[in-house]
Amino acid sequence: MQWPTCPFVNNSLPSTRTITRFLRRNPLATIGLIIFAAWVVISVAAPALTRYEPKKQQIAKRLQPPSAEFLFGSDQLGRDVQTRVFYSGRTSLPAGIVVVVVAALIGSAIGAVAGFVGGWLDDVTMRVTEVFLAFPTIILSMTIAAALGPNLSNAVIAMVVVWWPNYTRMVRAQVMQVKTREFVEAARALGAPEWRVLLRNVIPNCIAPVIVLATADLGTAILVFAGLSFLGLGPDPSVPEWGRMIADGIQFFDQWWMALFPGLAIFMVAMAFNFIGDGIRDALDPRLRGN
Amino acid sequence: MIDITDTFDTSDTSDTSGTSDTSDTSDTSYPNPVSLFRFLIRRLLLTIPILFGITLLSFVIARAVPSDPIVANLGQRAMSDPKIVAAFRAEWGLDKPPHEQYLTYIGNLLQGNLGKSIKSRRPVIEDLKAFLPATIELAASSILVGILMGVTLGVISAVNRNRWVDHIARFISLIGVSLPVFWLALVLLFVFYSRLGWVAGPGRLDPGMIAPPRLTGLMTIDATLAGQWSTLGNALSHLILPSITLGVFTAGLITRVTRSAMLEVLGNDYIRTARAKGLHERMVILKHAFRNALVPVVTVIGFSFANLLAGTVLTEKIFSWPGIGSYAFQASTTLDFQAIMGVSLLIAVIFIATNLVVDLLYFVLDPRMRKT
Repeated sequence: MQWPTCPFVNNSLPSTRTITRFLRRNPLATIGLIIFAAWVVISVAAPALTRYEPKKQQIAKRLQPPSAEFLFGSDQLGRDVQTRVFYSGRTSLPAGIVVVVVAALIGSAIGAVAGFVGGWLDDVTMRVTEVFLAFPTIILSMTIAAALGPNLSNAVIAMVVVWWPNYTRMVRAQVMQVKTREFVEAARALGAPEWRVLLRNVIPNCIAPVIVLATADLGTAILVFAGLSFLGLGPDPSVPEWGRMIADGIQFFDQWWMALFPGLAIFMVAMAFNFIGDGIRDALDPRLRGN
Repeated sequence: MIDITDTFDTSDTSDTSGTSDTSDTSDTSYPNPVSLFRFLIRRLLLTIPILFGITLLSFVIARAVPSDPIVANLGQRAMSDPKIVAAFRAEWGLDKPPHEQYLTYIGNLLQGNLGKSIKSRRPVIEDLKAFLPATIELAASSILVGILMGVTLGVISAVNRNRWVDHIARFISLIGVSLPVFWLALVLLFVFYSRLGWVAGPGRLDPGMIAPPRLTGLMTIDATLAGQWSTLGNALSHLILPSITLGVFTAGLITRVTRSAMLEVLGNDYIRTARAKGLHERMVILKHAFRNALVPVVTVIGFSFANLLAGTVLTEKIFSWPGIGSYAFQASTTLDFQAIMGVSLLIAVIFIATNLVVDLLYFVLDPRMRKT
């Protein structure tokens, strides 16, 4: 038997027209999107945009200042900084995005079930969530990354472990509100099983705020990932990664180019995400709308 | 009961000169002590399960992971000697089953004993006492920078909404939260310490400076109490760069919240009333609008301050600042589980205490809350 879908479902996601209007009204968000798109292109096309191999060492040409030969200079092993900055997008961008997407999926799923089922399951889930929220984020992620052993996937796992509770709390609140609405009752009255009501009627109406929070979180995730990597808890040192490059730059303080360019890269990407996130939040927060 | 009518600008109809002080009634009307006391007790009881949860979580992570604290704390050569490994296991109770280890820990904790750090071989509580003051000093000066910059920018931004001043202020606040702190710290050190030499570099005092006798552990206060003025100057100079580094990020958050809180308040009728009766614009903004926008602003300040006190690992590491963040980093990377649990508990307590203070401030700031 075919259950009727709820008429509100598609209203939770914006149309193309809404998006273009949003971008026209939010120049900063547009700039953010352009910067982000540029970094995606740079990361994907890194081999075409650089002249060296990211891991290739030219010891004779170590610590060279920026020049025509090395646009952003060279590092302590004679590797080209520009090449490494460009290639690093292939690690840092997916890492930040994966953390947020996985944390949002896991956190939302837990929150949705807890809010929908209620009762003792909800109580237990929320107490556990509170403990994770009260636990100092940076210490938790440092400890997990250190305990699992420093590498790329463990840094991502560590971040996901500290990241999900925010989504759980938000989605739970959202679900508890939505599940009392008439269309949910209507679906039940038509005989739809509980899991179907949750998946087809409740969850689609809770997606919008998750997307807002996730967009706003992307910038922070990029910064935290770079921070873990900076502390030596990220990918292997030979892998080009912005945070790690800055850590190397500290050892060679007077060779300012070693830390300057990777830092600018992190800054640009984080700023792009924050511009986009801020624009979306503004657009959705009725208190901040113009008169 | 408490008189709440006079503390609100909306009822402030007698104010024609613009000089009536809205605070003179709130000075005499205190929150109901009984409801306040019950509120405090309930809040404190609620925190107990959370604190237990934190010890359990850190215990599970520190013990149930593939890495062994033995590997992190004993060298390769010691590892190959089974006697040393066995002695290490016995010393730290690693030879007992996990639930027994945890119960022993909780038993000790209830007596105020946080255990001993594997790394420093001192009681964790002593370590925390040694590291906390540096963080308090840094957090206090950073939050000061954050409030000064953030509140100013936020108010200016809201008052000039959608004009270029607003756009610039929002742009600055977004840059503030997008800068990687460890990189900003490096840039500031490079420019203002290494190249220009205007301020002091890493650490709390120049090498060769004699630290004042330790009373509070806060270098600036200890130096003042001891009358060591050159030490005070040096300590302040060392505080400048790390405070700006952390203050910029904090200011970004505060600006955003201040702006939206002010915008919400400025749309209210009593603001129009205040303007209509010819009050000076500055009086309207500062007294009528800002005072009523304070609740969310205080919330974000409290949250930021707790975050700063939680130890800002990256900044402390770059500035060689001997604070909680440095201690936490060392504890995490060496899997020094007693220290990890100790520092996590301390930070959780800091967060809970800050939240409590913020909640109490609501009583002071918003007379409506006193009714319940």
